[in-house]
Amino acid sequence: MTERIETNKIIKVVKLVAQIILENGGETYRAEDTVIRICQSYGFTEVNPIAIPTGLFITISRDGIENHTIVKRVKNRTVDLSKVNAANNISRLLTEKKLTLDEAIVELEKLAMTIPPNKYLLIIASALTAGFFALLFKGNFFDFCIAALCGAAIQLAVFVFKGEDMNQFMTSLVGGLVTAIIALSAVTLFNKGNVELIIGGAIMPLLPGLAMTNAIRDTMGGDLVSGVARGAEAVFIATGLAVGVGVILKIFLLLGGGSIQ
Amino acid sequence: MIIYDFIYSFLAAFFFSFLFNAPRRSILLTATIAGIGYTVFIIFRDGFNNPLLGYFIGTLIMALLSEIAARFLKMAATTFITIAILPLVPGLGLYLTMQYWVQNNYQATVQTGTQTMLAIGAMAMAIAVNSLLVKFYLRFRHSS
Repeated sequence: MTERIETNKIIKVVKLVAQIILENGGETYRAEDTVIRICQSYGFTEVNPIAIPTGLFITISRDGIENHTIVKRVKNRTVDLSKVNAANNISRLLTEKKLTLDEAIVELEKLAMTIPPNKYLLIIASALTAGFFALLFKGNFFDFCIAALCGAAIQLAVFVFKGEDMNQFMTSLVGGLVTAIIALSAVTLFNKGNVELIIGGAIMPLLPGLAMTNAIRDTMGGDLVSGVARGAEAVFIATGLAVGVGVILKIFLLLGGGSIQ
Repeated sequence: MIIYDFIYSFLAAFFFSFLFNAPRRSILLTATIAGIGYTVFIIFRDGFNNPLLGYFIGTLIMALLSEIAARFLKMAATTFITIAILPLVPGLGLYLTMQYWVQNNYQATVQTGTQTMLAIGAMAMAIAVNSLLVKFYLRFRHSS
């Protein structure tokens, strides 16, 4: 009887851990490894987790006869490394038996609803990130300022559309549009600066950098489903950005814009 | 000046850490890893005129440093590499590909686009090589 209660708790814990890792930008193999490690430390001989970017399936068994399975759909995917890290910590403490299962459930449920960080901080951080990328691409001080303006505008756009059914494709599309409009009008208005460097720097925070590399790595490592899913995500985001920037560029060119070489 | 490359990539990664809500303890280290990796890339791109090798070595160094930092601070390596890799992602290349395409300059589109794709491929290779190295290291440590 106690064994059954423990099994139920373990399956709840691994579901929460894997869910938090997947929802906050952790890799699929990390979610699977974490599940395996926790279950093995509690004496489960058969542990079969499958994590893909949109969900997870876990079946665990002590003796190979009585199986316990859980399926969890993962919908909202953002990047919050603090949460990935905290989930990682909890799983380590669990395998080292420094944390009981009940404590872990309480901690994980608290973690699942931590409040997001300060909005103003995000806007400033987004602005400065975009600005320093423009400088990194050998831009001057003017490029820095305009790119920072674009970065702040992108973050504002993200906030404005967050309430709606806003997926990553829409975020990058709107981000691209806003960036191109600000960059092109500023360069035309002041007749200085470099559009390439400003837009190139401002879209850097939106790029699916790790999704692209993870997609190829997952595919090479045999995780075909998550590799293809991540690849599709990366292509989708990049397409959204390209369409957003491209539409404005095309309109600008048709209007006879001279600031694009 | 190569020191500016280090400083700018450091600062870009530093501020980007806040967007991904990185743990406060990890931010300085992440930014340093980003700066070192990007500087290595610049050395290979400008010094040896070999950007692809630069993408590979730069990413590999970032990934290895992230693994070391992860062991050192007892954090997930994801915490570091997700942000540190960002300066190397060829965003300017992606943008230029699109700009040439809009301008109907197909030759330049294909040229820039291919270079960008190869750069991403080189980065992915580096990430894969890194995870292989980590696996070998763990197996070696278990057996000895």
